[in-house]
Amino acid sequence: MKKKENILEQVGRNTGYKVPEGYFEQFTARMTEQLPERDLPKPEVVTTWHKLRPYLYMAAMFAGIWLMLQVFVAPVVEADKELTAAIEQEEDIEEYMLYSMDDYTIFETLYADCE
Amino acid sequence: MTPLYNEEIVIEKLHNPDTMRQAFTQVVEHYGERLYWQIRKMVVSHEDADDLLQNTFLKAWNNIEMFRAEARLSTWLYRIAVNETITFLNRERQRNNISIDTDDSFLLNNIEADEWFDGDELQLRLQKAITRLPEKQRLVFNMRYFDEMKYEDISEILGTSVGALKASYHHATKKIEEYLLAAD
Repeated sequence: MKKKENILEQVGRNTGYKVPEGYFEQFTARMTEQLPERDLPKPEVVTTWHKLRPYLYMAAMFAGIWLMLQVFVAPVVEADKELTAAIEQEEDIEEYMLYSMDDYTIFETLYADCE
Repeated sequence: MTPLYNEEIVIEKLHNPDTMRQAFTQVVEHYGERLYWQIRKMVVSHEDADDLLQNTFLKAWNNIEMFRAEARLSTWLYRIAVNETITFLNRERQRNNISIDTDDSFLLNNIEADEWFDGDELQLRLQKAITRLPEKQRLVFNMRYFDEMKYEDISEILGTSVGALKASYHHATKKIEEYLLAAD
């Protein structure tokens, strides 16, 4: 079993393959000479405007949303505030209740309270 | 003196027509040897490995705009080299009328007479054992055993999961050990 475990270690990591002297140095020079001309388009120049553009667009979008909230949502909230303030006055509520009930309902309520 | 290799700078230069040739020379210099040995271990012959290495770099040069900076240059080059090697081996099998199910030991037919092989008896036996493996297992074994590459890197190159690679390597090692022991 030990022999089995060691058999690959005995061989080691050397393949036994070799290359001509100076092959890799010469290969680089040979390869570079073989490379055909390439006609790539010039890379696009990235200006500060290009870099800032997405952030500016995002800021404009948020400003737009804020403006819409101011125009459409704020007046509604303001109206709600007046209503809330009115409801908080207990006397006003009682007066409002009495005003909105008919006589029959008032008597019925009083009768129920006495019971 | 050769400038120090900085992959980030080299990649940037590769995408600029004015600097791409100089940057590519740096790439050939940096990766040439590693890719050569990867190919050589698969095709055995030095001449074939030399041709395939040239083809690999020519393909990379002609398609340099396809390389995306977010990927690793080494992975991209290894992939091209592996594809070139597999295509070559398929062609060789066809040329020698060898079925897809038969192993690639025909590659070692003249190895003892090859002036670019000076391995001893044990090394020759190891090479024989490797050529008997299925193609994928050979690739995995060479990358892991000789180059000591990480499974994650091999996975990126071969597009196979790490688990499958580990299993492949395990099977390959077992088969090689059995072959070596049987021939002992």
